[in-house]
Amino acid sequence: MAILRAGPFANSSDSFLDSGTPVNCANDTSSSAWPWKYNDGVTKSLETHTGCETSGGGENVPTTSTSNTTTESTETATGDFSITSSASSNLITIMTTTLSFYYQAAQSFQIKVTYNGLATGDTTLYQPEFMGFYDSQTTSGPIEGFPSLSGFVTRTLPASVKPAFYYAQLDTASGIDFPEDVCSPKSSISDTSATLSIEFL
Amino acid sequence: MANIEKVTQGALAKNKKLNEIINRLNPLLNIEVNEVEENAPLEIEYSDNNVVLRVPSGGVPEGFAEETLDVVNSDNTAGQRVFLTKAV
Repeated sequence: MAILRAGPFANSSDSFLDSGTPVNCANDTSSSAWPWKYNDGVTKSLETHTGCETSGGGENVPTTSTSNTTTESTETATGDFSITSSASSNLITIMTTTLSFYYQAAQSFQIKVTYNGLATGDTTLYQPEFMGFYDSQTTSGPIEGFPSLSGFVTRTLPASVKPAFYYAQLDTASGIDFPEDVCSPKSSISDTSATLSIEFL
Repeated sequence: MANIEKVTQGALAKNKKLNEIINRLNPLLNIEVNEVEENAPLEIEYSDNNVVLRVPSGGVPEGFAEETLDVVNSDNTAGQRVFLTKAV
């Protein structure tokens, strides 16, 4: 029996919204009447070494500034899809990359989710924050790795009359130490990059 | 169905009323039904040879409107269905 379309967008409490996370027809990306859409999002938190100031004791101490940005957009998929993001600073770079969507399905279907995360820096590179992959079906903790992380998971998305939510998230982070001369910030060498891909099987 | 032949011999042939009935009945054995446009009137055309019924096509019941809605087909493909809807 056919399932009547909900959406076109939904959230956790309402299946009939005009904005939010798009609701799709299972794994059918071929329909022009019901285009397959997803949300991608990137959140970046950058801590930048800006220079120095003289402390009360007369010694130089580094000064920093923080920048937080979030971008999210709704994209149309005509098949497999992915998101790639990157960020850099001269001190600490933390980034979250996500893909999300709702779906309705008369029968279960499978997707393959591939993740690639990387942190790079100079010889003082360290892990300032959690770095790992997880999704809405993760039950035994995230898949962690530093400075690189890559792999894939295969997920079975069960049949659902009501819109069912799926998301995949990749957190990446890199940090480098202050330079010996805290008044001379390094050039941008604390980098992170992330790629999330979803393939319909 | 073949027409009923008129009676031309014997005692029954003397009864003109019988052949008159046969003449009226034969066209009914050749009824032709034609679907015409939605707003046309229902018409019945009677001739010596046949009867033609002209019936307007289905259309939408009064007070209802057609709406095309998206569905997930049983094989997970996207499809559409036409629903008759009416505000309550």
